[in-house]
Amino acid sequence: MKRIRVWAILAAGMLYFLLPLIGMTEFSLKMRRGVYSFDAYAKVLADPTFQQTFVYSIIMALFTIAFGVLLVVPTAFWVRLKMPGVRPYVEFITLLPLVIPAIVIVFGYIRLYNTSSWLPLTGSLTGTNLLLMFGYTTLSLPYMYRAVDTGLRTIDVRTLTEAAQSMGAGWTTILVRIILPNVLVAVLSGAFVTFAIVIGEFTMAALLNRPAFGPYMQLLGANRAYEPAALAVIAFAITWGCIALIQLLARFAPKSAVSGSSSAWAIRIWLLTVLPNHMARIRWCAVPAYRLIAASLSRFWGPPAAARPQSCE
Amino acid sequence: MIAGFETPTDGTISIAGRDITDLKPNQRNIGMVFQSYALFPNMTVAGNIGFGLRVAGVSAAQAAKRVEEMLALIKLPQLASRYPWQLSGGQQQRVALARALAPSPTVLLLDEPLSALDAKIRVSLRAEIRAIQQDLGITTIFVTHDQEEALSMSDRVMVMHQGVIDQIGTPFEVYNRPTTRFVASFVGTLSLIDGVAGDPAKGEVKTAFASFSGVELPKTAVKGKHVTLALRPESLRFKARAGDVALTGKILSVDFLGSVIRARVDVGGNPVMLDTFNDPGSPPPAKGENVTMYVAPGSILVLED
Repeated sequence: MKRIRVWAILAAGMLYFLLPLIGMTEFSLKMRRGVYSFDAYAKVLADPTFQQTFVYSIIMALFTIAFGVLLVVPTAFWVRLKMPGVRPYVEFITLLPLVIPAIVIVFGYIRLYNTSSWLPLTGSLTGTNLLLMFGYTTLSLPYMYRAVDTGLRTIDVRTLTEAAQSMGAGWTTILVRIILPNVLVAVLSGAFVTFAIVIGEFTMAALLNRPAFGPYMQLLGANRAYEPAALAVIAFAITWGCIALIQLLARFAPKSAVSGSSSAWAIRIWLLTVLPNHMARIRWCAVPAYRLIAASLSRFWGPPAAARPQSCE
Repeated sequence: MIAGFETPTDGTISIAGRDITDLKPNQRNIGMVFQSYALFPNMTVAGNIGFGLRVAGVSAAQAAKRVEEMLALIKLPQLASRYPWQLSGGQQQRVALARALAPSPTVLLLDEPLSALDAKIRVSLRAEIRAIQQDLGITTIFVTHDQEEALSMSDRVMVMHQGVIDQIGTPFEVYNRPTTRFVASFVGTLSLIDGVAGDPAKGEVKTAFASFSGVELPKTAVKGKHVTLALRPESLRFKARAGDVALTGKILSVDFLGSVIRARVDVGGNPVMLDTFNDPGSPPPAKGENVTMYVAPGSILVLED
């Protein structure tokens, strides 16, 4: 009995979670009247703006990941090795982007680096792109730092470093040949989360006026009906693809490195950060699915068809 | 400090006449083996052994040859392509030893390398390490808390207590002629009996239950000074020899240790231990039995308070 109750709760939870997604996907396939089709997807994928913004966001994501890895891995390594006392402070700093909204950060950037400031980054395209990359790095810092730190926790950083040092290795060799390969899965986990954040980010890209994927999705959502749903499905597919890649890579990782835990961590992050960004669209798209279910249920338990109000049809 | 991971507050460290005190750990050419093996999990056995060579800029061909030599030295040539997690503890520690030896260091540091292994492997591996060390003739510093390990593997033993060297000597000297109470109690097993020094020239010591003469007293001992007699369990016997001192008491317990039987005997309120070889022909004394033990005065250690 207890088992059945547990399964029932799980099923209800799954239904609550999956139904909106199914609804959204179903809606995205209904562009052609009366039949299911991939018209919305074809339209989205053929749109040159989609291609431009998507490529731009991918390039930005790759730069953000590279910069994030260069910043976070040596920092987390050094904090663990030489300054364990400052770890709580570093963790606190890395968590700040979770409580400071992106709009506050980007306004701070604009005020600090505008064309009349001492470092006029917004005065050129390269400067603005650089600024946007720094912004993305800041947004992904909590996840990247946590992932790398979790990875470092699984290896004996001090002893491995001492062993490498005793064999003549310098800091760069230790970081590149010993530390990084052993926390690679953790780094990749952080990298994929960073990728997902960058692909969906709207505020920073919009306020810095850069042609990113986030503002494009927003624009499309405001003007079209079926394409935004198709775009949301594509965005989800990319994110889930990233998580699947983490799982896949974890299988090839050294035994001591983080494996399952990092993908679980990535899924958790996705649920907390990326998913809420799309929730408004999902809820909206889910309405037809709820209506469909309500209609089906009412056929079994509802009043006779004649008594049903017309609006339910 | 020798490896360079800690900075000394005072003094200098020299290896073969070269002052290395201010050198970084990666400039000292010291091979190190750790208690936790510290093999790089992302590298194979061959990769681990060849790491120091690659860092030193040795060509790939030469490095491969040296790795082969090292694998032959540790008798694991078939495991070159395995990863550390695919090896047993003993195998991992052998690989760690080969990795430390591959770049031909001037000194080899072994930091409790056998502590994480089970007893049987520990004994076999310590003989292997000793043989490799003798074979290569490399100066080796072996840190251990296991006195048996220290005594069986070393040419010289240095006993440290609270960061200070208490005694340096051959295993024989350290075991048989400990210079401090700590060394005496730390290395081997001892039974301690309180006494008072008699005439130092005659080597006299009086206890509550017996008088000894011919005992080697410390040079600083004066008549009437409180001293402690320390008896090794193996220096006591149930059979007397000429010149022995007799100690009588009641057996408190008998421990069967395989090749040896250890009896704890109450002598005038002091528990004294005696080791005797296990002889299947004669059964060990029983608990509660009154016995007389004999000890040669020359084998009694006298410790000052």
